Amino acid sequence: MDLSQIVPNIVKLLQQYWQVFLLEGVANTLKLTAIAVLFGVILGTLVAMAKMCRFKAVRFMIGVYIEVIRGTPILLQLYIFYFVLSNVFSFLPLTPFMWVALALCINSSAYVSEVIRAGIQAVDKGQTEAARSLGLSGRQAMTRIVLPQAVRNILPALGNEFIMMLKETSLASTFFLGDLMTSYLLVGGATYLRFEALIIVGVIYLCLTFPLSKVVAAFERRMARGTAD
Amino acid sequence: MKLKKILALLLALCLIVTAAAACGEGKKGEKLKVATSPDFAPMAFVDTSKQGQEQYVGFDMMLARYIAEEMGMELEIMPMSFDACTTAVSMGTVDMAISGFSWKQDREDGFNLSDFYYPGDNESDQVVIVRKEDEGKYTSAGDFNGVKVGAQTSSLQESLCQEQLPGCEIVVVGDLGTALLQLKKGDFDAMAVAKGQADVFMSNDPDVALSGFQFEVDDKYTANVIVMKKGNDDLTKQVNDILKKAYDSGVYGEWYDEAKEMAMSATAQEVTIEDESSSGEDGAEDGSSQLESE
Repeated sequence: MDLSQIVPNIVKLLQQYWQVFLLEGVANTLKLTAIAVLFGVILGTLVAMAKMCRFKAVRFMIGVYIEVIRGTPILLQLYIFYFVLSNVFSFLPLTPFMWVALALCINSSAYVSEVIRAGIQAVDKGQTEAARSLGLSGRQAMTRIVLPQAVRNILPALGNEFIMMLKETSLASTFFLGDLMTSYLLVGGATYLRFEALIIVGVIYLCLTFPLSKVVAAFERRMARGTAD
Repeated sequence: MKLKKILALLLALCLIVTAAAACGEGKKGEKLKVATSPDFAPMAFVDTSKQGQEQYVGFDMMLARYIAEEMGMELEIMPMSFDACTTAVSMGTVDMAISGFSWKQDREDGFNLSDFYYPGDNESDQVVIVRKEDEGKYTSAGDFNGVKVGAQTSSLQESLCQEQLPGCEIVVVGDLGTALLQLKKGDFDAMAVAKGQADVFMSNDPDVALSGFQFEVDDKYTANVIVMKKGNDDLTKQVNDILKKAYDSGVYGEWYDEAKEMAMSATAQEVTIEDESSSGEDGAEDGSSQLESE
């Protein structure tokens, strides 16, 4: 394989298609990720609360939800949402982009709910007991004592979830939704310079995830500071 | 009690309204939905300088526009991966898939297929490409004895290799772009492709060339079909009539030339740009110096 052509080819592709990679690809990838994580966190919080509620039936149902979502490949979920659910709920005015975004939100919610639940349950039980013995109500103990400590466990993990999701949005390229991986398919498909397009997309993904992971790491350090133990 | 009744009535009304709205939505199917995998120049690919539905170009897209126009419907192209195209048809998400499908028995069994359409020499000529330095090395079937030949999985090319190059060792590959890399890397020494693809490959890549060997292709394989849902005979008949009209008016050749032109200009422009910025193309030094000057 002649490697000497790769750099000139990459330059060629960048000259002609930089908008496709940067304006379209990066923008859509970030958009999908932001939507998925934002609604994933909102939904995930609700799911986590339901998972810890006192009704056994609800706990069971939520357990099934989490297991099904986490136990099946995300690509399969995209197919189900895109083909099956969009057929069943065809009266909803959702675009293909929204269906895939919805699938990513649901997927994200299952993972986020476990992060939140684990974060809350990792707070020592003694904290709740101490708060209760000082006369705080159950709700007060939760919102004033347990949650502030749980946030310290949860936030860095959420950052990691964001990075994971950023990479998982590449699956949206199955339906050519304009994310970075779609840029690769389009440019590679039109020019057959697939390897070069792959390298470009790979570098862009790294440029996105590397600073993010640094931010998360810094955050983790910041959160670890001031722990009592 | 009264309040409850009113509430129930209101709820029922809501239900009826949404149901009616849903029905209306379903019947509004003035759109012809077509699935395609736009990563397959010159049949279906994306012109990145355009936006929205306009950006899908290539032979199959011209055909899709023609069909929609003949049917008096608005065309909606839904891009998805090649595997997903057939899923979309069987799920009813789209009305048909036009994505360079060739005729195959299992496709015939699972779907309604249209009559054949003829995208120029894209399918009718099936060739073998090799690395530039091997040009002219393999010209007859016998030359391929013991040679590794790449072919896309469950493709026409794979069965052609089995039939007409009995001495060769077939290496099954997933997608053509990756296979091209493998050929250049030396994973195999030759690769069976449709002529249309070979032309696009060669226009972009000076490292590959035609081997000089060409398969003999049965008429059945020389054309493409449109995939529709099993049992959708009305649509199939309608499409077949339109295909016949297109064939009779002789537009296929024109479309194909135009599509191929577009596919090649996707990189032809770049070549001129590169010729201006650097005179030599060989040698990594050239490439890196060019990078620095950017």
